[in-house]
Amino acid sequence: MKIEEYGIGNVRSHVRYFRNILNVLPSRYSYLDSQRLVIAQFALGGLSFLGAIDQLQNKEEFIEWIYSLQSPHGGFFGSKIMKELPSHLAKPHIASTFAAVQCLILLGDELDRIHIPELLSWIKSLMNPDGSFQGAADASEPTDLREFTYCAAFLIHIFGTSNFSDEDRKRAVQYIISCQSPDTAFGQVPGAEGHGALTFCALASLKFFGCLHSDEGVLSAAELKRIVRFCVNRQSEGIHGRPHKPDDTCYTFWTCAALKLAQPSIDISEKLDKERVLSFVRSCVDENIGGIKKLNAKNQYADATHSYFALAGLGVIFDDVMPEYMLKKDLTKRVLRIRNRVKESKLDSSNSLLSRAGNLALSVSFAILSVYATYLLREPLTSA
Amino acid sequence: MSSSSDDYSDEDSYILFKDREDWRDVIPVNPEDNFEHEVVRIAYSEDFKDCFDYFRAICDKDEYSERALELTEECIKRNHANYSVWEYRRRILKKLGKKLEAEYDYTQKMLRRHIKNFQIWHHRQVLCEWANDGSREKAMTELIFKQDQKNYHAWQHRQWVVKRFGLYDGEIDFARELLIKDVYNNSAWNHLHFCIQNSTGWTEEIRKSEISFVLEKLEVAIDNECSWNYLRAIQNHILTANTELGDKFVSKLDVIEERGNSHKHLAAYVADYLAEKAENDSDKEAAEKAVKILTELSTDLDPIRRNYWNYLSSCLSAQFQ
Repeated sequence: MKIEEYGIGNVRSHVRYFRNILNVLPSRYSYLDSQRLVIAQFALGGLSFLGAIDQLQNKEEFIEWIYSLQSPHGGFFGSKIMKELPSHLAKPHIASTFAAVQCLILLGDELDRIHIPELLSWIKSLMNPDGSFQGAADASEPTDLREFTYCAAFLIHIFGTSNFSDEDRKRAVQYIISCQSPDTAFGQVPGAEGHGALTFCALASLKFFGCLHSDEGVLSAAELKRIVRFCVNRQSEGIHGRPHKPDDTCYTFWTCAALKLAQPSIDISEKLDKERVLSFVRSCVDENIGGIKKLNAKNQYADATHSYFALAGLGVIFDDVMPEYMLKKDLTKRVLRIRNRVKESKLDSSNSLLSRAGNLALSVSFAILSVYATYLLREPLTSA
Repeated sequence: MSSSSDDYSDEDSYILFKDREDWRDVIPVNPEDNFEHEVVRIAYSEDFKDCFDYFRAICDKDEYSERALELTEECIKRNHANYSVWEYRRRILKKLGKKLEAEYDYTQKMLRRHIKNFQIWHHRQVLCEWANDGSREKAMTELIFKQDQKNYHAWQHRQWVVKRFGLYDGEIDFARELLIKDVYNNSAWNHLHFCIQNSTGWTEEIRKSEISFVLEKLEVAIDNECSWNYLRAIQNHILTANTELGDKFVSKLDVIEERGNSHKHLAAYVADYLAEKAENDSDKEAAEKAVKILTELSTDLDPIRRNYWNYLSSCLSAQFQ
């Protein structure tokens, strides 16, 4: 589908809007400092939805900047201010890490500088016994289904499950199910109110964990039907996230993506009044600065979050965007290729271990030696 | 990006830390900017840079003091989402053995300004854990509800407190009172379900009283999705189908002569009930009636979802051909 067919006015003004965000934000946006990677994801993602990301110069430098925010111990920091703290305070964040990987994919990077083993053990360390995920280590951030489970599920899906056992996966899935609300949508934590965005997070995570529409599917046909009903009821003109809340452009993505995931075989336009959704989003275009507003009101201006999610939502409605990845369909091929490469490289390393089986005797004696060495090292430490 | 952080800009008398007498012993740490092409660069104001340069210095020194506490407050003013600053603030509070009274006041003040900020709500939760006390939280969330009845964070916090400290007393009445004031408050409906689920459970008696409560509320507003969802949720707690209630709604719909948009949820409930009946008892007549109602939904009652109702009706027709 060509972007012009979305009918959101002057595409160039939207491109300018996202490029301005990438460039420099005025000081009143300082409060976004710890989430700069997320804002970058919104701007780059917006350009990608508009088909304009290849106009960007300096892609290589952007990639360098993103990698500069990687922790050697796995994960990414949202900004330099968050990173350059003493080690006991500097904590990478799962949402920043998700955003970093998204940005790198959008910029055409192959993700070959991600510290994968460290990343995976860091994610594992964020997992709570009940199967939920913390946003950052040591409970410095709250725990909830928000994006945290979704971000973790996405990263595990791409980078592999080597230290994430089947039991861990089942616990994560169990937690997601425990967040199901009485109206069969999903809430932030067990018992919380059903919500379009969290329903998306739940379904997309279940899909990444292989538990949606599969042999291991954990939602019954009746439950999926109820979820579809919850989502279609979220249209009044545009789309909202909870019963009797006003329409809001960002739910064009959250609720429509949840709807698509709940019933992938049926087109969104077969369930919603597509024209009305489109005219709502169109009425929220910011004619002055480009971008898309939360809702159509005089005192509203476009912001990065709503501009990004409105476009992503239109992408889902026009079937240009793969909902669980939040990426245009033509990019998901590359994601799958990267995923296969990561898998193969893991196989390679385990193969090379096997080929060393000839030297088993040597390995065993080395292992005994290293255990002994560890013991020797630890002894004085523990007694000290 | 919808809220702004300029709530400190009117402080004319504000003195930068670099100009403060009692901070002369500290050398600010300003991480060198190596990237010409940073993404989403922010034009930090002088006071922002000043605060965070001193924050970095204090962290490097591992200083836990009154002035460090004050510094974290200035940093939080400028970026309340910086979870590392909050974390450091908590360490200072612990190390100095501060009384939590002032901190409760501080978070309350902050929450009323930034009701959707995750870090402040989290901080508040930690305070309750430290004090092992959730007694003031109900009143605090009610202040927030005055600003925004459906504030997701406030509801989540209230439910956490109620569950964590076993404060179920009066909660069911609280939810019901909110529903009497506004029957469309879905958060209150959800809270009612939450309280019953975690306190009395869905006993026969409770189910009956809740069904009569929701029927009363349907009398007030027949087309309220929340009430219908709540009714379905109660029915999900019963294993056997409640045909009496289903039949009652079938007759109720039957006698409405001029059906319109305000009967869509009733019609949807009846269509669901009949479709289920058709499936369970291979009742062709029920199926035909359900198809008729679904068609009516798509044409007259709820045309915005016409494609959806048509889809359901064609599935059902195909099944009973």
